[in-house]
Amino acid sequence: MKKIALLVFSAVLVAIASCTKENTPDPKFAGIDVEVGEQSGSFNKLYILNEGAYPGASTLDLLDFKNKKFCEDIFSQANPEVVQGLGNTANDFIVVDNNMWVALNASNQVAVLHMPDAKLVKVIEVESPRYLVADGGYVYASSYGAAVYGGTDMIPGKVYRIDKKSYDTKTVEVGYQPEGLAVLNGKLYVANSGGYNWVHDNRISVIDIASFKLDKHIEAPMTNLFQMVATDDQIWVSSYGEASWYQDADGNWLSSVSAPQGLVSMTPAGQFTTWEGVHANKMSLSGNTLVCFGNDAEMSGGYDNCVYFVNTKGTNFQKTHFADSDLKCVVNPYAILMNPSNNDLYIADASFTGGSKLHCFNSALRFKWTVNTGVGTGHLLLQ
Amino acid sequence: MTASRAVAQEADSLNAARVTADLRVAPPAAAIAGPRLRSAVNLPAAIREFSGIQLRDYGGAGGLKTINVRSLGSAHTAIFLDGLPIDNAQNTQVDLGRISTEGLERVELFQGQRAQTLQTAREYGSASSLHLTSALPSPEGRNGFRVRLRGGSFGTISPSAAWESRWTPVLSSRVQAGFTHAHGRYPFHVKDFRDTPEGYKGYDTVMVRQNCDLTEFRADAQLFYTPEGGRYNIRVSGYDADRGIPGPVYKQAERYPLSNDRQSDRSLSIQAGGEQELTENLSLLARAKYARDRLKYLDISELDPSVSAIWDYLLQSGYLSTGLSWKASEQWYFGGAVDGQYETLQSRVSAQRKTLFAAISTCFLEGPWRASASAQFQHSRGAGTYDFLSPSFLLEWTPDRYWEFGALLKRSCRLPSFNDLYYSQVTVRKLQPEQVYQAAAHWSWNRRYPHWYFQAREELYFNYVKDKLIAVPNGSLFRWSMYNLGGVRILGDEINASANWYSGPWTVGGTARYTYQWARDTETGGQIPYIPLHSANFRIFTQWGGWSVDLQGFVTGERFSSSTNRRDFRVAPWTTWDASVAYAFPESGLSLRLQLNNLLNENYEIIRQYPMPGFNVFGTLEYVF
Repeated sequence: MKKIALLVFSAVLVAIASCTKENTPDPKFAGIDVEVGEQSGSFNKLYILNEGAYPGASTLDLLDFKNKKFCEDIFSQANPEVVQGLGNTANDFIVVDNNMWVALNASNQVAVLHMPDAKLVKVIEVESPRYLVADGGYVYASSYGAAVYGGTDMIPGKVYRIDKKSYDTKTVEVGYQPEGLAVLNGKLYVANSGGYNWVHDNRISVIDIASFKLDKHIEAPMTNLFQMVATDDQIWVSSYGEASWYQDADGNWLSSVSAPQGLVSMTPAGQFTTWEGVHANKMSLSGNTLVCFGNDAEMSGGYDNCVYFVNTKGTNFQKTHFADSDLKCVVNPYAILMNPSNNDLYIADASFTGGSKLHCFNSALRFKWTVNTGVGTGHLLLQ
Repeated sequence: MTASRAVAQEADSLNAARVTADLRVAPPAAAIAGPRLRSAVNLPAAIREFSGIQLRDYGGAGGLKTINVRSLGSAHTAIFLDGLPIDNAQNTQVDLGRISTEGLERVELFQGQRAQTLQTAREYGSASSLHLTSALPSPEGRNGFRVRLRGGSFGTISPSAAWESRWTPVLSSRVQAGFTHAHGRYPFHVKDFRDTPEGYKGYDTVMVRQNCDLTEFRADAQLFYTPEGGRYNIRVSGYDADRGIPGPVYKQAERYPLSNDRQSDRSLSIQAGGEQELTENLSLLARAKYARDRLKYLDISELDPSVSAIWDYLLQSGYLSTGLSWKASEQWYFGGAVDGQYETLQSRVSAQRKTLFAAISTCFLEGPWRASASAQFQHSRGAGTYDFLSPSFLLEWTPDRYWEFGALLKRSCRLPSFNDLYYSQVTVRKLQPEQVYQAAAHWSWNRRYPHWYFQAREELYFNYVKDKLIAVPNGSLFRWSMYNLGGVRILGDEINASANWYSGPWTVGGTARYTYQWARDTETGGQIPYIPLHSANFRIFTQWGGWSVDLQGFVTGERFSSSTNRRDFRVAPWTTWDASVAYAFPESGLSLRLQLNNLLNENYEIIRQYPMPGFNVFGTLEYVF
């Protein structure tokens, strides 16, 4: 349907959104001055979504490139009278037209904020929302539904279709614990993790956008599916990997990884390509480059975080060990975003017991700057 | 004095019953005994005024309550009932709220070491210990009954009864049972204000704590045998409870509750113990215990109550101890004990652990000096293999009957719990025990004048926690594991002073306690979670005839729920005032008590996102016959 897909962490989406920006004067958020080097291409703002210490309050931070300001918790600054703030365990956000949509997992809500003043416009009830994607007149949200971890009955997840104007919702049932969403050629693809079940899900749900009905399920060559990105001809899916527990002779319970974090690409016809050697969990698309990070030594139980640059038009990828580059300062990578206008790479080093850090590296992975962000920085968005 | 006959015991009657070869070098750091102990709702309510402790309370009728002594964490405080441990191998957390003070004679808190020669090997090993001692039924040879009805806020209704009987001069028994039901709901405020360009803005809204009902039943039978030079008891206890778990307060879509989760507990424990004087200089001890705790946790979806997950845990523990105490001379005492414990957890995963404890100790007395040295060795296998030595040294100097000075050095540990081990990962080095090094010094003074009694005590200490067990997401936030990574340095000071005045039927008294705890995480440099730098409590009471009036204030400073001490983790300081009025009708066995808690309706949290109740009131009617 659309030539260009709109998806989570996709800078393409942001580029489209910024084209339709209206001329609202910039709000004055309180913040601190930061040194973030040169202008960041065509973007003026980087929004930073902090999940919060579970189930603590999530916050939205703003890095204003133009004014070189870092503004903490702009939602509370803009909406001091909204009870309990933005909500809890924010899991994803996108900007559509002049609104920012934030999925608040623990709060069972999707909040709609007017941008750039961050004023709360609407709160929509969505059961355990996970990821968001916009297409046409709708925003779609994946939802765990009422499922609980280790539940007696396996409860399938859903995808919510939310009308951008009326905010009316409609749902369709998908696989277990759906995560990433992507739109390609009139179909909505859903990555199912099955993370609450003993046996994880390996299916991709395909929804026909016009009828909003489930078309079919496609089995992926890996389980515990996580994030999803669409290029103009393929769907890209990452996996959490698989770990199992066993007890050693000493009685210690040990976890061993039976399948690593992985990446597959799929054509609309259901043809899979497994990207051997790419250990992806979170990812970001910039032009023809899919950038992701993951632990390369997971199978042997070690830690060797790597960043991968996958050529979405070819069969090659480039891998760099964090340890061999300036990325070695990143301990717990939790969010990644590539700036399509200058190829800067933003990586969040998240902490759930304290503040996180957001680092910026240039395309040669040279360190540019760092800012201190909120608790559990997990999602980034350029405007 | 019929009112006190069946229930009240002179606080020292059990100490008098202690065998002769057993020597205790130093008094407890804090103690509560007699009617004040027994009139408390539960154990946490009785001990919360103790210096140097922090009670964690998740709020409400069924909220988890644990003790944290001198910033070391609840796992480092051992709890003993009549010399036998109450513990939890799964997560090391013992819910003190389940322990009733009915039928107890005294509760003592020992910081560092209970330096005593006749005790189980286990009692030598922890950083601090809370000892609960059962009251012996009255020595008078009659049956006694006590019925009590307690009720009040949160829809609480709690009847209980006890029957004490002395069958022969040396054989007596107590049977008691109690029931509590509460809907547990209470209002609380959620608020946040900030400076904005348009002025000081924010919100303050009242919500109601939901899903915090409690229904609990407890029963307990004890048999005491006290022959010449000996003391034996057998105790069978049962506990059955069902409660709602209200969970933390967070932003939830209006239509849904914060939590629908439920927990049920079914516990049985059988314990027996005895001490016998064999000769004038040699005493023996033997104790055994079996405990079975079944916990069923129902994780019920907030969105759809028909969707749930059941988590079922069966924890069993068998314990056996034997020890002796030998008085070598008037100056030298020796003690030794060997204990064995077997613990098992059956759940979706299962675990078991066997531990052997062996301890030796010696006490030396010379004029105003008393000294004690002990060493406990523990060997554990099944859930990791561990060997650990816990030595302790204690010195006491009592120059006259007013002053007492003391010092302590000790090393102790806690083993990784079953839960800690479950979060290990394959490449992680074997987890080590979390170790505590303690150095403390104290002075105390007391003086009696006509109509007056004064007391003061101060204790300064330095604690170091090494190889602290913490969960770390090293490298991937999707896979956490346990590491011996943390460390804590704790510098503390506890000061308390009290004055009592009595004349004829009147007694008036006051106590003030202050605790300073500088407890820094060695990784972040911040104050560790939930430990206030300053805390204090005050008590004023008066007794006249059958009346007694009591006013208590508690002040706790700012705390953080994470040692990074970031604003997001701040927990505000709080102050509460509680009052109680009691009246005992003369010569009737009837007494009434009114307890008014949180008089100023303070809105506060002990644990972040777990609001505590505002003003609440309870009444108790008791009849002893």
